[in-house]
Amino acid sequence: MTEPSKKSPVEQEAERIFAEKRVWHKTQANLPLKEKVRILLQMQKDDYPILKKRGVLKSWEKPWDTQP
Amino acid sequence: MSTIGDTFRELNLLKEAQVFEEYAIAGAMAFLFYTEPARTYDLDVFIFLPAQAGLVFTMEPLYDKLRERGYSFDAEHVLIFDTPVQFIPAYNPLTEEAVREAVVHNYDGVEIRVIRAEHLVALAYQTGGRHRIVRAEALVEEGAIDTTKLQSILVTHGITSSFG
Repeated sequence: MTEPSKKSPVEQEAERIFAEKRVWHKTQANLPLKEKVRILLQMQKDDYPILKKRGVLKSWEKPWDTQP
Repeated sequence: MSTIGDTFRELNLLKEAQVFEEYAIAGAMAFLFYTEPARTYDLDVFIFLPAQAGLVFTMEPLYDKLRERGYSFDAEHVLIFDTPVQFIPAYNPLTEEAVREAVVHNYDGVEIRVIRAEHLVALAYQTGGRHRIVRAEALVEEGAIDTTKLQSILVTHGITSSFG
């Protein structure tokens, strides 16, 4: 006979969500290197207009004109 | 168009040409070898430079050699295949050890020296800064490090942290 869980349904749901997030991060971490570089290059492009608008970038901070 | 592999290959050529004695990828790019990608706009490279005479240390001899080889600069960054590379001389015993013990990874057929994960965590704690600590903790949480090795590094270099 198993003991009833002491955690509330809300706590259990939050735990499930956080467990899924951990799996997602682990999956991202374990991607092939080249795929991770591809993601980095895409992040540079995606973030650039926002950061440029905020005026927080230095002269050399721009998306790299290169491929993975 | 060039690739990141071309930039890595160039670092090996610069070492062969004795522009610097040794190197290791550091910073966000090094983290990428062990954990999920995080945005960065430059490539940090720790290096060993030849000993300099005199009391004042300068990067100019390195920059002169790079200029002679045709590289262009943007502030303190050297543009290698359009990737801004910042060369940072190993500046204390921890960074020297990190370069010496760097791990050779293979990126698309190019061998590249990268600071090992345990040193990245120790450097994050020694240097400080919220974003570095967050990345370091992600490495630890993902089990990407040898905790015995990390503890040894922290003790050796007198670094206090919540790890261990």
